[in-house]
Amino acid sequence: MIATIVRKEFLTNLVSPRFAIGFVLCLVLIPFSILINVSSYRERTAQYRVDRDAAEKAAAEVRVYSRLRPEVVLPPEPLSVFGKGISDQVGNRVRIWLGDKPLLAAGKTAAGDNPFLASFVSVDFVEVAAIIFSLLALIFSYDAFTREKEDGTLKLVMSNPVGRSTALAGKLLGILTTLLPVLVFSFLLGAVLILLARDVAFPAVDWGRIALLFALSLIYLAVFVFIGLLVSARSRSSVTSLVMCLFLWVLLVFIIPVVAASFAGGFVRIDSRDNLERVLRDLDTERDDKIKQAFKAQGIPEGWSCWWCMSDRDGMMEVYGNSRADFEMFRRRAMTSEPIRLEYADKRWASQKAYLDSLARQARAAERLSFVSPTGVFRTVAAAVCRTDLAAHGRLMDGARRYRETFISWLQGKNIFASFAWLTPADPAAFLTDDQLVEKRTGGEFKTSRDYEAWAEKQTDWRARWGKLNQAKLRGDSPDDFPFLDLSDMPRFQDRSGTLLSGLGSTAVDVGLLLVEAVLLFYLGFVAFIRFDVR
Amino acid sequence: MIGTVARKEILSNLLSYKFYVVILLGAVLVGTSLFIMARDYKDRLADYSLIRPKPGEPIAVNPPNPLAIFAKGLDESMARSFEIGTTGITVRAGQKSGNAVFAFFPAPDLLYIVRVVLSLVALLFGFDQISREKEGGTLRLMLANPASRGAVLLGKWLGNFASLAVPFLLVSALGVAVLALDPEIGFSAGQSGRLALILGLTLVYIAFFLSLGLLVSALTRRASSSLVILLFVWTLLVFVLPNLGTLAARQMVDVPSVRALSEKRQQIWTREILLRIRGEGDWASHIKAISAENDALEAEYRVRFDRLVALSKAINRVSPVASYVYAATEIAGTGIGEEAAFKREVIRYKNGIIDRTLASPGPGAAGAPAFRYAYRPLASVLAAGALFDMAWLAAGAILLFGLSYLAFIRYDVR
Repeated sequence: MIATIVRKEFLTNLVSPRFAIGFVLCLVLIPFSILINVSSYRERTAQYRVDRDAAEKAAAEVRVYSRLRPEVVLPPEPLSVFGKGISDQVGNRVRIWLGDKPLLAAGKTAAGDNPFLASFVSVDFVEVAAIIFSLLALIFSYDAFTREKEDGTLKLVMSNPVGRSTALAGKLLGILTTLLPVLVFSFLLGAVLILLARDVAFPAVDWGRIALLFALSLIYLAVFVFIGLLVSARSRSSVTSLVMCLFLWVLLVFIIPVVAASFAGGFVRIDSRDNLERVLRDLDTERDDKIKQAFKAQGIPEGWSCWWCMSDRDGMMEVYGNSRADFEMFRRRAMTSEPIRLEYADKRWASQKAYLDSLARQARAAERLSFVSPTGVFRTVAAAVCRTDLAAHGRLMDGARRYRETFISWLQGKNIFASFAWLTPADPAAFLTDDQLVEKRTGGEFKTSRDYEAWAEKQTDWRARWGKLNQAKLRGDSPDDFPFLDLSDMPRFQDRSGTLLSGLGSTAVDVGLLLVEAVLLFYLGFVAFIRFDVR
Repeated sequence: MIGTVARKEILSNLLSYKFYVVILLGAVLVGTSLFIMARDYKDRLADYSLIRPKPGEPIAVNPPNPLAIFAKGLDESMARSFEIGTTGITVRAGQKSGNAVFAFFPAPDLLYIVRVVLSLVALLFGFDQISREKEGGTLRLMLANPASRGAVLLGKWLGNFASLAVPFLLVSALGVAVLALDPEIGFSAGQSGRLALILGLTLVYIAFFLSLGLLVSALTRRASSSLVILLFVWTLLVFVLPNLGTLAARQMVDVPSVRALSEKRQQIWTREILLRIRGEGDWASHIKAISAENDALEAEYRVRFDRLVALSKAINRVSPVASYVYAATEIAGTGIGEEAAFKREVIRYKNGIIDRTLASPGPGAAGAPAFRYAYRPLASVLAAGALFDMAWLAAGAILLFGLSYLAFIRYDVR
């Protein structure tokens, strides 16, 4: 008996214009959204390649360890073709500093300064699914009982030996078997478009994730079918049922998520960015003072001079052509200052983490508030499945922070701060004294640096003073005399290689919520139908 | 006769359950929206008082626009601070540099509520006008009287429009009155006028959707099929078409990315510095050259960007919903045209500052003039496109009503 009802439902739905309209709507909107996102993914991949090559080139062309500041470029997420999530809102480049842990990624890929581009609604597969699947589910279920009642066929059905639960199950299965082909078709269409797109390659794990997305869409669809059945069983006519369903749809899909986001934005405060900057500036001043005091305690003079050097922020220092004593002084400086710099990076991180946590808390509050609507749950879980939610980005940034630790312990493993290789590629065995340097540079004219100083003091023209020192070119006086460092053993940033379910642990609760909602709605619909007056 | 039909419509609406549910929901949504947006405005006002430049600082900041409570548009981007330095303009997002997560949610301002909910409400009032009376058998009774079809249709339209417009205006007026009592939010006379214009425009928008509902109702036999068709049309008009144009235009017009732009700026800066190190020219000419080239770069970018905007606006206007949004944001002074005018004003201010600094160098000559942005007058806003959008929306409403008249005179009322 139940098979007959299912078959009848399926056939009536199949010939109805709403099936055709729904099918065409999916046929138009899904390829549209996928194609747009494939092209945006392609652009981001091209940009990623350029950035990565530039970063690798910059990292390979260093002569001393002190100038090594590797830049991690995060690759775009292939699954963002399905659900963009926040991928357009966050950057993709992280530079590894000694005195600072990575806070937020730089190099925002989209929008930025341009408000017009930022004001786009993100049209991706997940968004289309959230709007269209819920609408289809309601359109197919709003008149499940009322139409048959209006046509007078419901009493005929119930006059047969059919229980109400059988009739309900038949209706439900009939609707689901009509919607399932639409759903399967939408996903197949998406998959075919991805397979046909040239530069988009999904690993096996990602296809598994798309299967998860399919299961999630099915649950989402079911929730809205149950809502439609419940409303239908509580209404007297199809028209009131449809009006009610429409209002629920607009409320659940469009109003609640937007209002939830604004509420969380307005009521859950984030720490002030300016305040964070101020705290960090204070810590930097404190660190610089501490380094100065440590120099004083060790008797290291504050000023320094060099023959050829480059110094930059974050303790970068590259020195050529100095005397053994100067090199030793530079080495002792680095040995003292760099551990303090590392120590203060941890201190800075405490405030930075508090700031990041407040951002995450606000985002989480917005999510939680939007859970009032099944669409909110769907969007949140779908972003997690596509690895484009805030948590996935947080994991990437954690990876970058871990990479910084690995990189630093690699440096420390070489005991590099205490080594001359930190500052100069010159061989320590070949270091010369001041006197030797002066003798060689002046071509033997002055034997000691004291002689030269005595002579130089009498000169008024500084060009003449320097000219004397440039009479003979000394090997090791300029960076060009040395090859680039061999960095084959430097640790590289490990790209994510997650398993099928990695990072989805916390969303299990959300999916559970959706399931509970579905069961509850089904139960309510069942009760409403039992009490339904079929005459 | 028209009056009688209209009166009957209003009375039957007043007696229906649907009317009260819809009005209550609409009132709650409008109230929530005004509450949230007023809070947002006050937050941004507090930020503004924090980042407001001291006299003499070369910083251009525009206070948030109170009309953003109703139509937020690009006000957030216009209320950023633009710090003028010799190297160019540094843009700061202010205190509330938001959470990346929220960027893709539109602000729930009155414009959004009207755009999404009120359009649907108007459709719900229109979708069963003909079929319900036919099913109830009253349509033939009505037409058995000496009433023309045109009079019946117009009476229905007027009655339903009145039952939509009056509650909406009452709720909005109440909301505005509550806002006006708040000491932190002050509307000037001009802004009140603009607000009235936006509310008037909203009535045209409601009329458009009511006519659409009437048309589909006159084309279909059954109320539920009318509603299903309207639903798809509504999705298309409100969500799909207004985004389609922008996406299509982006494929057609190539706009350089923000990063490419900043790299070019960097190149100009480096080149001029190198020239200076080589000892060619003096500082003033280099700074002028950097500033001029940056402006040229910005101007070229703006030209392309304007082309993108113009094209996408032209395509989006296929849906009168887009026209409504453009007209309302421009009138509120938060639209994309106003933003462009604001950017031009900031660049002029920057050039003024640079000229002053070069004319009288030295630290003593600080004291940059304060930046003040005057919103474009309403007349030029209207001339720049808002009037066209309003006319287009009104023309759409009239056209749809005309079509529904054509459909109704062919309608089998038995």
